Formats: sequence, structure tokens, C-alpha cells
Amino acid sequence: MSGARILIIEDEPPLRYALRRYLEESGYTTRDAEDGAAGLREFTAFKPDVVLLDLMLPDMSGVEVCQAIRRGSETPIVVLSALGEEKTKVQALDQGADDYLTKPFGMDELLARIRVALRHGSSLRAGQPVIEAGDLRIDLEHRSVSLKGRLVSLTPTEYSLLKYLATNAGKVLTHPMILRGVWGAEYEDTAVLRTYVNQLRAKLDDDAASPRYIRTEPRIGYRFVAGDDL
Amino acid sequence: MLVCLLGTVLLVLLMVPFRNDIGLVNAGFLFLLFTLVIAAVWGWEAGLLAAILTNLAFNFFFIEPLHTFTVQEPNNVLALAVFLAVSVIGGTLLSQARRSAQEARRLQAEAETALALSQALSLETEPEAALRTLCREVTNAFAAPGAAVLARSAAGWAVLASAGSPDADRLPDPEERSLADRAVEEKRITGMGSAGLEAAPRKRVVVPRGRESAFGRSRPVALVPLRLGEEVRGILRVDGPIRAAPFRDHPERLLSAIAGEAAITLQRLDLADEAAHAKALREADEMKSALMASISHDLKTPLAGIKAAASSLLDERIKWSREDVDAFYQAIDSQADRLNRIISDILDLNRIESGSLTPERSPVSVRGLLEHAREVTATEARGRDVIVEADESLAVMADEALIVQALVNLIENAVKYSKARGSIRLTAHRDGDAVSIRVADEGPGIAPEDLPYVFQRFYRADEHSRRVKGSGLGLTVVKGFVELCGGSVGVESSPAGTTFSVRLPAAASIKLPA
Repeated sequence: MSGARILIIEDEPPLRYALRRYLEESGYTTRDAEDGAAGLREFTAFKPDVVLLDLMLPDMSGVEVCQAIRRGSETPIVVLSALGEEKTKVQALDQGADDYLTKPFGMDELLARIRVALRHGSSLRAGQPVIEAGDLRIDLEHRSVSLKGRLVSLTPTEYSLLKYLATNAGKVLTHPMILRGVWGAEYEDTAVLRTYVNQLRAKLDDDAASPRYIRTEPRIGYRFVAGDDL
Repeated sequence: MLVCLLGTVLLVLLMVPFRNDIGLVNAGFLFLLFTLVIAAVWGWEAGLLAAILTNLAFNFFFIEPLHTFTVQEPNNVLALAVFLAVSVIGGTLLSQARRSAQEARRLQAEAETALALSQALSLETEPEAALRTLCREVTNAFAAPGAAVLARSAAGWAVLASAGSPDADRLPDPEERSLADRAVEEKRITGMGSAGLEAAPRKRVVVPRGRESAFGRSRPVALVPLRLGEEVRGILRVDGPIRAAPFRDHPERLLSAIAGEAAITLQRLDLADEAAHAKALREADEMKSALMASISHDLKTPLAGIKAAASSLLDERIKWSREDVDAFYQAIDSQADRLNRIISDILDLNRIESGSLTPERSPVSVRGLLEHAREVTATEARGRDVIVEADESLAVMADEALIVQALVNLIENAVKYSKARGSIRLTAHRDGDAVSIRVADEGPGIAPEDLPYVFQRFYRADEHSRRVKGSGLGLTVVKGFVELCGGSVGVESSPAGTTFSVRLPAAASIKLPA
């Protein structure tokens, strides 16, 4: 999706400059902001397709920026975090950020994440009744799942979990988010989640070590990947 | 006994002249009254003596035939017998009542003393202080010459605390050691001497084998095991004689109560100490993790800039303009410098803390120091006005490299915490024997409650902690370097800006820059 609009909210001038120039040269349209307030103003004016958001800004935290954006928009947000900010990173993901990049990162990795985010954003907009990922086909209308054309028998909970993961394809989903989304509020047992993910992987013939569909984000949660995504 | 005798004689002398007026019955009652008074005041032994004496006197002076101990009338024999029986029974009852009252008073005194001790000990937070309080309270409560707490280790007995006479602090002599060992072994009070515990009736005197001859000259002393369950934590040694009336004869019960109280206090302090130790370890651990997280953040931020610029340059799909390439190289260069400074801060701090840094002090021009520091921070200041105002003649005794680094850190700090376009003023003036160098910014200032802590390692004002990236090591390094050069640091702040000051000893002559 060349020509997509990317908003960079980052207070470190050297990094901001490199991100802007590299993304421009890679065919994206960019705007940048050096703090949270300017970032939110640009967000309203520029209407970006993806937001790159630093977690530690001079005037507010990245988590607060996430919350502000999510109040009125589903635009994918990729959080830029440094080591030692794990807690803030998880908070940002819980507040609706889609993905994260850990500093320092290479530009090729950045491009890959932006592509995933853009795809996720477009799938959100489409709201399609069928999700296809490699050999996997999920028919949301008829609640049926097939692998290489053969129907897969899932329990209602397994189906809900797969549906939740797949409709959020590309997005990092934290344990609490998945539990809330599938089991309902106040449910906190990640062991149950792990068990269901393992069952689902077994039925989808998916391998945790080299996942085709469900990827583990260590200490954070899971992410539904489709084929060439990471 | 003397009182009984004299009292009886006096009573007889008073009564004999009025013998006919008083009559036999009244005389008997008066003697009986006297006997009861004696029994009430001096106990049943004195009462019995008084009963016999008055009985004899009654017989001798009042019963016919007078002035003999023979009794003429048979019913007078009965009267005498009744008189004796009544005086003995009455005297015994009275003295029993007296003993009960005494016992009650003693119990009350014991309870009060134990309570006072318990309260005094509960206020103590240090084991040594608690033991001193114990000794002091025991000395006071028993009106004893002194008290000490002894503990047995592999090296022998040691005195942990004492109170009272200077002698109370003595190491136990062989007799006392033997008694103390026995007190520990048998978990009961041991004592010896003539006026200590042993003065109590039925108290078994413990005399170490082979030391019998020395026993007579030994000081009176009581050795009380401080036991908690089956464990003996130490020995409370109370020097005799005990002068406090309520406990003089039976100090064991109170001593046992006190020993229990003391052992509980010792255990409480042990537990508190363990808890404090565990807390300190946990805090140090948390501090270390927080520091590591912060340092790694500090290191990763410039690294992210370097990595972004380098990986952009390396991407062969993009043909970068000359301008872009220069900008990327500059970013790599400046971020590498920044990385270097952070690592230097960490190493400097380490050198300060390990004490391996020896300053080389010589007279240095203050203006030179300020200009040098401004030069070093030119890139970091990003075009801010950094104004130097200092008299050419001002000089300080200092290690030039350390003070320049301290000033660089202060300027960087000012850049970090002040408004984007505010200027930074570096000024200096003579202040008595010292020169005061000031670094002032036009930032939002530091909250008064944070001000005392800004130089502490890894402290960052809360309000800024999420806004400004950095571990807060810089100011700690400033303080360390300035103090190494014999100076001091200070900070003042208002909403109009913050001023850091560095005071260094003034130097008479200036080393001219080469």
C-alpha cells in the first residue's frame, strides 16, 4: 500500500529525522511531531493510516496518546519502545496499540511492521465475512473453519478464540485483552488461555516454534499472522 | 524480742500500781491487746513470745498468790490457759493477715515493676539499648548495686550491657561462670553470696565444687537465664544485695518475669533486624533493577538513532542525496558521542564510589573552565544561548578535567530540563575564600519537595521522570567530582528557573592556558 500516510511521534531528533526520510524514500507520505500534543493535532489534521509512537514523550506518555487516539479511531498504532519499558509497552498494547518495535531496530523491520499494520487497518475497514490466511479459511457468517478445504471441528470457545485472533490479524493482543474479548471481563487465568491456544494450534496443525497462524509474543500475548507476515 | 520484753515490763510497771482498780479480767484483756499488737506488727513469732511473756507476767503480778508463778485458784489456771490460747490464736491470725497484705503488696509491686519494664523495653528499637534499659530497670527496681547481661559464645562469656556501679560491667569470675553455665544448663536462676538470693529462706545455695572456701567472701549475685522456650538467649546477672523491700526476700518470681520479658524483647529485635535486613536487600535489588532499566534505556536511545541512520544508509534500494547522507552521518556521530558520555557517567560514578579517583588540583581560571564546558556542550545545546559571565581574574584550586565534566553535566541538565528556547547563564563570583560558579536555566523549576534529592544517585524529580529521558546519574557525578576537589554543590529553584551552584576554594594565582 504505497503512498500510505504515516505519522511519526518521536521526540529524539536523530531518530525522527531518519524515520521520516527513510519512509519518504520508501514511498510513504509522512508527517512528524516531537511531542504528544503536536502528535494528536497532526493526527486530526493529517488522518494517517499508521501511527509510529514513541512511549516516552516530553509532555505526556505514549499510553496517554494511545488512549486519546483510540477514543475516536481504529488507526493502527505501532509503539516504539526501548528495553526497560516493558510495562509501559504492555499498557500501550492494552490501550489499543497494534504492535511494537523495540529500540534499536533496523529499517527493514520497521517496513515489515508498517506493512502488517496497514493490512490490519484495511481488513478492519473491510469487515469481510470470510478471513483467509494461507490454507486456513474462516467463514464468520457460517461459523465454519476449514484447513486445506477440509472442515475443522472446533468447540465454541476454540472458535471464539480463533475468531478473535483472526479478526485482529497482525495486531499484538495481550493476554488480558484476549481473555476479556473471548471469556469476558474479569477473567484473568492465562493458564486457561494457554491451554486453548495449544488445542487450537493442534487442530490447525500449527507449530508454536515456527507458527503459520498463531504466534506467541513472549510475556505479552499472541498475534495472528497470515502467511508472509513476519 | 527486745520489744516484747520491754513492752511487757513497761505494761507491768504501768498496771501494777492500779492493780486493784483494774481488776483481773481487764488486766488480762490489756495483756491480750498488747500480744495482738505485737503479733500484728512483728509477726507470729514475736506474738508467741509476747503471749508467753504476758502470760508469765499476768500470773506473777496479778494472780494470787502474787509474786509467785503458782496458781491458787483452779479456775485461774483455766483463765491463764484461755488467755494463752486466745493470744496465740489471735496473734497467729493477725500475723497471717499481715503476711497476706504484705504478699499482696509484693505482688502488686512485682506487677508494676514488670509492667514498667515491659513498657520501657517496648520503646527500644536497638538490641544494645534494650539490654541497657533492662539492666537499668532491674538495678532500679531491686535497688541493687548493678546488673549486667552476659552472653556465652565460643570464646567464653561476654558482657553485652550493664548498668549501676562501674563494677557491674566486670567479666564473670570463675564462680560466676560456673553458676552462669549451670543457669543455662538447668534453665533456672542460680545465685550465691550472703545477701543476694540466698538470703531468702529455703533458697538452695549453689556453691561450685572446689570453691567452697572462697564462698564466704563472694559477692552476693543472682544469675537469671533469659530463656525463650527451650533456648537460653543470655544471662541476666544481678549484683546483691537487693535492697528493695518488696523483693528482698523473694526476688525469684520477679526476676523470672523480667527474664521472660527481656527474652521476648531480644527476639522481637532479632526479628525486626532480620526484617530490616531483608527489606534493605529487597530495596537494593529494586534499586539495581531500576538503575539497570534506566541505564539500558539511556544506552538504547542513542543506539536507536545510530541504528536507524546506519540501516537507512545501508538500504541499497534507496539512492540517498548528499544532504541525507551527511545528516545520517552526523546523527551517527552525535549519538555515538552521547552514548560515550552516558558510559562515562556510569564509569565516573563507579570510580567515585570505589574511591579510586585522585584529583590533581592546581589553580585554574574559572572563565577558562566555563568556556571549555560551553565548547564541549555546543552540539547538545542545539543553538541555545549559553552565556558566560566571569571575571578574568577569578581562579579556583581544582582538578580541571573533573570540574569541566561537572559543568558539562550541569549545562546538559539545564538543556534537558528547560524550555526549548530559554538561555543558559554560566556566571561566577568571589565569595570569601571560595568562588561560586552558577549554572542557571529558564526552565519550569524543580518542586521544593524534590530539591533536597536532586544530587542523589538515580533520583529524578517525579514530574519529570516520564518526560525526560535519562538515568539521573549526571548530577550525582557533579556532586562527586566537586566534592573530590574540596568544593560543595547547591541548588535553588523557582518557577522562573533553576540555578545550580558549585563552590570551590579560590586560588591566588592562575595557571595560564598553554
